[in-house]
Amino acid sequence: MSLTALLDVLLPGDGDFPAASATTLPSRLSAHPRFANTVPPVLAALSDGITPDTVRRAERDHPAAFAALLTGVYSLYYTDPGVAAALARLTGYQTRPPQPEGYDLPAFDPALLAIPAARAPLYRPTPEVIDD
Amino acid sequence: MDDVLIVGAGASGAAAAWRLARAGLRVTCLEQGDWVSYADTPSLHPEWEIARQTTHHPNPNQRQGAADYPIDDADAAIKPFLYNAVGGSTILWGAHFPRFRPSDFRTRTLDGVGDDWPITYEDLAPFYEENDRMMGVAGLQGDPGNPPRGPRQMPPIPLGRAGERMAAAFDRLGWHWWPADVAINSIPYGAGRGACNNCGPCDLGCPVKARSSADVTYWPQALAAGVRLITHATAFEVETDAQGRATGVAYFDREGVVQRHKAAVVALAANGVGTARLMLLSTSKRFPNGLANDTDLVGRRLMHHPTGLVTARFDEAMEGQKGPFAVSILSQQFYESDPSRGFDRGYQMQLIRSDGPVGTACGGYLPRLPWGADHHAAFRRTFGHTASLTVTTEDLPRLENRVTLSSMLTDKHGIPAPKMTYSLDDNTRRMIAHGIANASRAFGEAGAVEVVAQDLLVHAGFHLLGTACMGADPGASVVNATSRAHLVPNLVILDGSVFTTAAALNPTSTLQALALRAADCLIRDRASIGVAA
Repeated sequence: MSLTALLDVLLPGDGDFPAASATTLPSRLSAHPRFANTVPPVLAALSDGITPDTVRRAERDHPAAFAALLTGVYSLYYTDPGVAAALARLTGYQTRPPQPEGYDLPAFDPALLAIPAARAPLYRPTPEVIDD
Repeated sequence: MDDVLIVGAGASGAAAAWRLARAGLRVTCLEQGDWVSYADTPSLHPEWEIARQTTHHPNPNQRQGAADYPIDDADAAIKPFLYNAVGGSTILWGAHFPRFRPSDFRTRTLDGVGDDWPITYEDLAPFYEENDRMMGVAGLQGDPGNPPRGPRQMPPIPLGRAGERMAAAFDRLGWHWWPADVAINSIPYGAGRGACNNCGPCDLGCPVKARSSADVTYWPQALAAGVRLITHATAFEVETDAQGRATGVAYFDREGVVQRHKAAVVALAANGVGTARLMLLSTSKRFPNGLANDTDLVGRRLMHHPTGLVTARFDEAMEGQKGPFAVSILSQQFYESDPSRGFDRGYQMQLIRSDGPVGTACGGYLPRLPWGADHHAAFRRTFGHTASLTVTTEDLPRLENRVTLSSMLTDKHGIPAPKMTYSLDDNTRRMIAHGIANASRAFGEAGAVEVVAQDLLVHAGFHLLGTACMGADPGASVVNATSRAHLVPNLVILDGSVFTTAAALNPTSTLQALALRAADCLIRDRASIGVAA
């Protein structure tokens, strides 16, 4: 309960993106082998309740622990299928893994080099080579 | 007994192993890591970006992989960025492949700072050419910023929207730019290696094998030439005889059992931290302060490439997730020294692309996005709309920047971890500030709506240089012009430890060219090298 409340303060959602509690983030965070242990230190610092103000205080007083938690929160939020779908709708970003399809890009256009290729040499030669 | 025993299977160890074995020498290489599998690369999975925070984190202290040793970085302004596996840190690299410039080898003569190398650009040029052929380079001849060189093996990689926009901006400013030389296949090149499909995260591994890490370039050919590669082998001492000549290497095997491997010549290729650590661990009656360390220079003169980062936001989508993340175009307009700028030496700017959604939120190119009610709006403004310029500066050697043995940390075998002690000097800070101003100006010219600068990338200790420096004077350097230790004739150092100065350019092509040259010198001179009985 308190974890969900904390996550919704961090990522409340808006018209485009879901609130953290509406995603797989709470359950995945609690079970994640690298990130689960970042939760208790921050929750322990929130004994006065969970509001934006108390969370801000926890961040100020425990910056390293808070940063570790936030890395896990952002990592798991943006890999949630619902968030990925929202991102795709909003931006056209292809939320599939980068491989094996990759992406198409136009090939390099040599015409772009008309100006830089005409410049004089910019490097200093080896002094002994000049002396020779 | 082997002719040569190499410690480290990364970029330089692989190149030298191949060269020596092709010449008929009996070569063994010890590598503390294992082969990396490309069948299960993170970029094949939906949670690919999380790997950068976990299994593929560049800092071994964060990653804590089975092959990693801890590094005491409490007193280091720049944190280590390396990988332990066959292929070394090329497993994580972005594959920039510039050559040093001629002036980089003559900083004392030309600018009165640093030290001259005992070799010139011209000495190294044929080895650069051969290394280019082995690794495969996408790029173009004709760069006025550098001496002429042979045809690149492949055409440049695609620039993408940001690259083309910044190229036009540099042209309007009258500044140098050129498509970066990169060790990435723009077309198929090399046995079993395909063309880059612009997936983006080269650092997470390339299942196409388009990115030229040493495990897919040199190693297959080195093994075919007869090199014996022993993985899970953690070296902890170079053993010597009473005269101080190297006799072999002691290491822990995969079961944790101590093994001792004899060789006529020992070659170290464990990077600028690992090699210095191994030399400092290798004490004896002859070398009470560490191997070949009578001058107290082993571990000193640690150099990085201190990097500022300027990131611009554009109204238009830049699609920076497409294309190799670290490479596109570069500008060396401010590379050579100009006293009117208020600092010695210079810097380059490299255009890099942008992050996926997790990287955008967690920060890197930009600060971490805010949490709370403002988060989602900040994400919408940023994601897919940025490009960045690195300001990569030359780091002049200073004795106080160094690698020592930690009194606080040990590895899993109980061996002292290395400790990095490193700070920036005022010259470097002035150079970064100059570069940030110019990168910001370039982005302004390109139409950016917002520019954010970071004075120093902390997690950018990817170029570990200078800790066993090369020089002509045995009293002021560790190795000679052939990369052999002045004090131990059958000890060769192959990695970036030997750099006399750091230049302001990515070092891998230079350290591989140096390794090939060291191998050739060893082949030529080995009959006259004093080896242990």
